[in-house]
Amino acid sequence: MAKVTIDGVEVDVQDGINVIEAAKAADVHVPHFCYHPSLTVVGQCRMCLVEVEGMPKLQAGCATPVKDGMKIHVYNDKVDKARKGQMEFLLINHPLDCPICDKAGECPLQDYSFNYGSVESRYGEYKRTYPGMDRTAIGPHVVQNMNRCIHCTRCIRFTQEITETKELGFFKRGAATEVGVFPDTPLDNWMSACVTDICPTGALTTREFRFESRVWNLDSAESVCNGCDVGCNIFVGHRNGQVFRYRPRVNPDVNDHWLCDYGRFSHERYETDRVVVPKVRNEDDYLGISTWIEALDAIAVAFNGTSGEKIAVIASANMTNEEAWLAKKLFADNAGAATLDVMVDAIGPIKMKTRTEWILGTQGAPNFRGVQNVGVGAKTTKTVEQLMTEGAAGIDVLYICDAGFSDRAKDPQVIANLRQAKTLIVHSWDVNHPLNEVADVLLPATVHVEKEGTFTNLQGRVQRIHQAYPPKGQAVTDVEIFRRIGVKLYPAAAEFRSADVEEMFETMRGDVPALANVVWSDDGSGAVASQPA
Amino acid sequence: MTEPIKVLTANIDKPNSASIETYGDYAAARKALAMKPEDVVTLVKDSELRGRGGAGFPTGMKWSFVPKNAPKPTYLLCNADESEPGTFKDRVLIEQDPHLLLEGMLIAAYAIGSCPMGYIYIRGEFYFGATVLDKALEEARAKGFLGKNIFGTGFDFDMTVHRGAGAYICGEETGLIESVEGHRGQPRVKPPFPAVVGVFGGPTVVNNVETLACVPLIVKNGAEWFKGFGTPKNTGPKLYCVSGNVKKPGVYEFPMGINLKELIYDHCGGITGDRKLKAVIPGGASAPMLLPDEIDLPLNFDAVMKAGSMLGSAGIIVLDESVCIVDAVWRLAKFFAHESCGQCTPCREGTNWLESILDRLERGEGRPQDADLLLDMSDNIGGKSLCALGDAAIGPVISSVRKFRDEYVYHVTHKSCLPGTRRYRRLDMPVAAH
Repeated sequence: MAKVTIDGVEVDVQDGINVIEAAKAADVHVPHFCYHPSLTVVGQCRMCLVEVEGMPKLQAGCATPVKDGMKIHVYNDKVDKARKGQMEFLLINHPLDCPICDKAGECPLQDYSFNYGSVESRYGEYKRTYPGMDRTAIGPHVVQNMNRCIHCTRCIRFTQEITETKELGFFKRGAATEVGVFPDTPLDNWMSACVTDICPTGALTTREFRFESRVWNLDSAESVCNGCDVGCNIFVGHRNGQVFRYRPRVNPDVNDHWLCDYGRFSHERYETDRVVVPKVRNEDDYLGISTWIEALDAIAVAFNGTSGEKIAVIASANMTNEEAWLAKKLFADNAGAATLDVMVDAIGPIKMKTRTEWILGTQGAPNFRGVQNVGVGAKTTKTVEQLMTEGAAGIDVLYICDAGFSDRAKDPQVIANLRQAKTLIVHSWDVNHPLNEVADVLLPATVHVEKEGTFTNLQGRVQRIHQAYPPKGQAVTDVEIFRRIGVKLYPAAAEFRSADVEEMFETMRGDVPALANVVWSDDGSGAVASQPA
Repeated sequence: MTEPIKVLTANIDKPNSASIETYGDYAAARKALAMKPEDVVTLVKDSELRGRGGAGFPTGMKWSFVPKNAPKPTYLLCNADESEPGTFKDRVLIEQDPHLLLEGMLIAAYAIGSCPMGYIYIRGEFYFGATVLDKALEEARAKGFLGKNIFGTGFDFDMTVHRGAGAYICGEETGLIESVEGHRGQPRVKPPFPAVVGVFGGPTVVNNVETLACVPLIVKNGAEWFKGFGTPKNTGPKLYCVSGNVKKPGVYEFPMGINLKELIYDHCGGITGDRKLKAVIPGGASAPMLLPDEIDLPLNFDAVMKAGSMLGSAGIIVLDESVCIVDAVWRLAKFFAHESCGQCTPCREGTNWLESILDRLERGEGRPQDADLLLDMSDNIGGKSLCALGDAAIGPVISSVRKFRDEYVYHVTHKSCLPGTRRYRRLDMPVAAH
């Protein structure tokens, strides 16, 4: 440990960390562009210059390790002059086109120019431009505007050190230096869009989010990506019930600062018409719009007219732990369903880097492990596989908790097999899903950004997701659906009285061994995650 | 009057001076390899040899910084990327007396310890020098002076010549290291310093050609002999490169500390056309200018530093009264802007801005605030950049604005150069892009 003084505040920090990190302990922010905690230190932007007592020249905060007894000044006149000087240099050739730039509002260059920039420019020359490089698609997802670049090389180091694909490089030199892709090697790797997150200017933007929304008009919800079982922490950027983008949320133990392209753009699957009302098949074999009361009545009729052996339930790895637990309570413990199982599609593998190691996402849904943990699939007479391939003949009620439980559920043969059940009840949010048409009761369900709850990722880490916006139309979350059915069928049962998922989680601790010792942590960066169970 | 000496340049006038027959049988290296490596370092320390590349850092101390028992081998790099405008001393040694350098490297490699390989990083334009060095290396290998078990002492050492691609920045030691490794030539952030982590991750010593050429002489003649040249702390023979408006430009060897005025007027024959002296740049393009009344000083590291400039690589550029100072500074600023590697902000943006302003002044489009702007901007570059190139670029600008402010003001008010001065650039020619 080293005792250092930063702007008069004495703090104990780990020996040898750099001044920028040490200053965080003293709650002092050292402005910087090129420094990034997960990339090597290059000391290029010179924005983080600080004064260290005893050293004649200002030192780059990123490249200066702290030593015991060091006295550091982050804010004084000398440093301020230098910082304003660097800011001036960065801005003389920057187009200052914030009004039409997608980065505006979350742009470090813009933020620092408010703090350290000058209202009047002393630059009386022509600005440097990079003709032909102002809206260049350098890869399938990334658009480059070289005029806005401040040459911090974060993107270059990302492709060199994280993905190790090395598509990007510095070309030319001096004031003409440019960042670009090597000929015939577009920026096409599985995490390419991460360069737009780490870019401190609007030089790199994603094709998908470009000109879609001003960032300050977006609301943000802390959630977890549901693309695979890695469970990358994300911010859901949304407005008026529409998802505009996912952004990685820092969690050094899971996805660090990164997010894969598949996950990042997986919200595009929600850009479809939604199932917004319940539907019930009537005597004329017509699947017509109904009220929730009619739909629940139809479900009650189906369940009451049969015994547990003839009830089969297909859960989904897209369900949260709470939904899965409530489904198990409802179907296995109360209705006595003999078949309750879950399956997951294989995917990838998708590589994701934590701060220290690579982890591999191999499942196409976020919570297979969590759903199994609560006991789904532990005791089942038939597996999902059997139901899909051998058919559901002899089953009175087949309850599918999520039409999207597998991609194979779109296969006509599989649909025909499942349809062999006497009554088919389906939750679905996608109006185009082929299972919808064959259901006897179709319930409007929600996508994961509309849910509250927890997912358990491949590390066994339980992570909370938060609702970005309320469900569409008459759709309700699965927790609410199971609760409504539970109250209707088993009014005496206590677990269906509340839909508060946080309260439910506390109840689950006593019931599910894997959740008993979950400890919520908050590292201060907004990432909330538990220790692996 | 101080007489020129022939110590470093002892061989260069001999016929066939580059061959090993003329040079001799590496007697100094034989002597050094019979000593203990620590003793060689101590000897060089005692001689007070200071690096001839520009910074004047004590060479023996640099060698002693190399950690013993490092997990990776140590490397010795010879910086022959002589690209400072006004400097051409290393070229003479390389082309005329390559074995002096090779012997110096052999001794240096032995002294720093566990060094299996040396690299001579020579600037790409020195094609002839590279061929001379290659030939010299062949000769030395043939004689068994390089390779395995040199002189039967069990010491293994070899060298290779690495040609650069013509970048001033590769003369900066970490830029040189990057270039040797095959990367883009741009300096690294320090720490770690090359003595700890250098080329290929091993501890690395980077020395200038002239520095290494001094080493065999020290070993052969002893530290006291070496200290006999010059003054304490500024010892040894020194090559001075004189160029510009003098009658006899060239490389001169003197004991360290020759008087600058004497050098220009007595040894170099005075100013061309017997015009008046206007300014002297004493240490290569990056050194601040000295006025005629400031040049009565000994040319050693400390005295020039005290006069507000630097000896640097001892590239003395003489400007006479016919030179437009703004034009001269513009030309220097253009060099630095062109040679900036572009990675750090102050140097990439600042040097280019300096050049633009000076260009504008010279074109008669100057503004009254330009002189102050140049000074303030230079302050934002100096000491703030990643490597020393930023500091180098502001040397001529700051000194010229301070010392020739009237001439800058004249450019603004009259939109032309001072009467009687001329510029070397034709303004009707388009300025090439970098």
